[in-house]
Amino acid sequence: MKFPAKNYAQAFMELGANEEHSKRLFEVMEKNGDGSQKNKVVKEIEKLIVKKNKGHFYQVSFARTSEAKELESISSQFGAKDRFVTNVAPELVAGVRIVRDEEEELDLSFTGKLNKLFSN
Amino acid sequence: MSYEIIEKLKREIAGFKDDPKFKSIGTVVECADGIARVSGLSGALSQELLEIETKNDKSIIPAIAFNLEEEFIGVVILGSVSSIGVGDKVKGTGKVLSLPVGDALLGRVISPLGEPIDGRGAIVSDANYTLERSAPNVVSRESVKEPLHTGIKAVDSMIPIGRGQRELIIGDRQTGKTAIVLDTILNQKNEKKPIICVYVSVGQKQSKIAQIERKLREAGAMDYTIIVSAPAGAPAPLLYLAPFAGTAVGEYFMDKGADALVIYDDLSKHADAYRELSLLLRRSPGREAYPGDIFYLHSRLLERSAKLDRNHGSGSLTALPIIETKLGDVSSYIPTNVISITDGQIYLESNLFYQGIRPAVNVGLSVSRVGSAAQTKAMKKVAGKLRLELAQFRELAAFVQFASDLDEDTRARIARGELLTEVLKQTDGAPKAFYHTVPILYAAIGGYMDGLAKDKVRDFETKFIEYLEKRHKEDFIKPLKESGTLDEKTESILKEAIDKFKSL
Repeated sequence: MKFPAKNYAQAFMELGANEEHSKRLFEVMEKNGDGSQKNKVVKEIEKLIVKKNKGHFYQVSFARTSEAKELESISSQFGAKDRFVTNVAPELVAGVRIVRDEEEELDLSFTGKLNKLFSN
Repeated sequence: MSYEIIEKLKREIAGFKDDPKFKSIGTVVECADGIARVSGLSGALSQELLEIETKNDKSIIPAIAFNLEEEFIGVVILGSVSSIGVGDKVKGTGKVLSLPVGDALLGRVISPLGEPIDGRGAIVSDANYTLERSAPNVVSRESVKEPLHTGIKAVDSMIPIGRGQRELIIGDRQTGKTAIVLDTILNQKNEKKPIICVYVSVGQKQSKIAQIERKLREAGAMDYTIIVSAPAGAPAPLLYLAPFAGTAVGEYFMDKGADALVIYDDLSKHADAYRELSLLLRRSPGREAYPGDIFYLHSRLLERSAKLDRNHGSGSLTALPIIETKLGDVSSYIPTNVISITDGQIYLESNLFYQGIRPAVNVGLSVSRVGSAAQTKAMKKVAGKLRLELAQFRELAAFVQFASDLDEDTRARIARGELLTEVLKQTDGAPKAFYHTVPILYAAIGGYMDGLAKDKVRDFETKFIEYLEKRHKEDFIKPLKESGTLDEKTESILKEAIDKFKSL
């Protein structure tokens, strides 16, 4: 029987996130045939932890690879409770796109501007 | 045209202002059969226009938020489904679906999303109308009082349609439903006050739509006609949207104070498309597997037809929905729904069609609930007795084969009924202006055509109209066309003309 990653993550957090439970969690997932969902569940747990700490989960996409210095200056913009990950998305052409909690997006990319112009 | 487009683009680029801020997004978690489930976008509104950014071909595909659930929203996709994948981003636009409207649409064939599909270039339009809109309220309406002539003798005389009315055309397949509405469009050329026609094709063959367009264009009727086409090969969402798009186009003209006519060909296929969408969205099926709100779907669509009062521009929107029945069953779900919503119905029967009575209108079952108030006075005066005569004939029709054993009065009634049935026959694509129908019906009902052989009726009609056009254009045809009344003077001219014509 397969369960959504969200449900595994929620059960894990409600039990109390510790090493013992995490071992058990993966065992239960294997038993249920959901072993392939491990990465998804980890991501969901990460989101729940950030939410519990009243922070935000940010995903920052750059058009090109950023240098360590740039990344450092960007990371300093976020609070200690926030979690942020970066990736490279060449389709942006230029600029940056920030997604908060997978629910909201701030599009500062060139592609975004073009799309906005054409949609008007 | 290209100059206009370039200027418009220049204005838009120069005036472009970006105001970057966080906007809600969602993610596609499931996609199949033109439907997607989206997580996130918790603030989406019902019927909101969404944009799906595809990872596969980097395109933006429009979609509509249909089902708002606790965890997900059910989305209807309005473009190519094949390029959408799980994980694609979905953005809200804060807008409901709309399409460009304006005079530039006249003579064009458009998709339900307002895109031109006739290869005649882009459509430049300044106004946008939403597909879903509330119907005009009670205060802004007035009763139907102006006639809408279809050019079909049987309809204009016995089932008159008024501007702002909703008259259903119902019948089995191949009974001439589309022919009636096409004649109505063609007949608007004869009208003093022209009507803008919107033909909405739902689930028809592309070849049929092309044929209709060609026919209308050749007759010069595309000058005042717009075709909204969602062919059989189009996905269900487009079939569902087509009637709403057609209504929005018609409303634009109504709001301008013009008279518009929207033809929905046909609402049975529209209901089927909505059923398909609803089942895919996992809404509970009801009778005949249609969803519970199928009545509301058609009532909210047809309620938008109205005759507006003077304070609101005096425009009107007439609706001619078409329903296809199966084996003449008018008591199934969708036909009964639409019959109860509309202000009357024209019932076409296969039996009559195969007997050669075309248009195959069943006069007994057809009715116009508000049209008589709008009927041209001359037509009302002439055709008043027609329904009764035909009803009496129908009762006696069973005895036709024993005609020799019947009394003289019954035989005369049967002969009159047969004559009137013959007079009401009409080929498609040849609508008759009311000022031609009135003298013919006057002659038939007044007994001037009694004794005429059945096969001579058509000939009599053609020659008599030619005679009137040649000899009495100024003193009869013109006053009748202008005033719409048959006063004592014009009636005496007509009587004289008939006598003279018969003596020729």
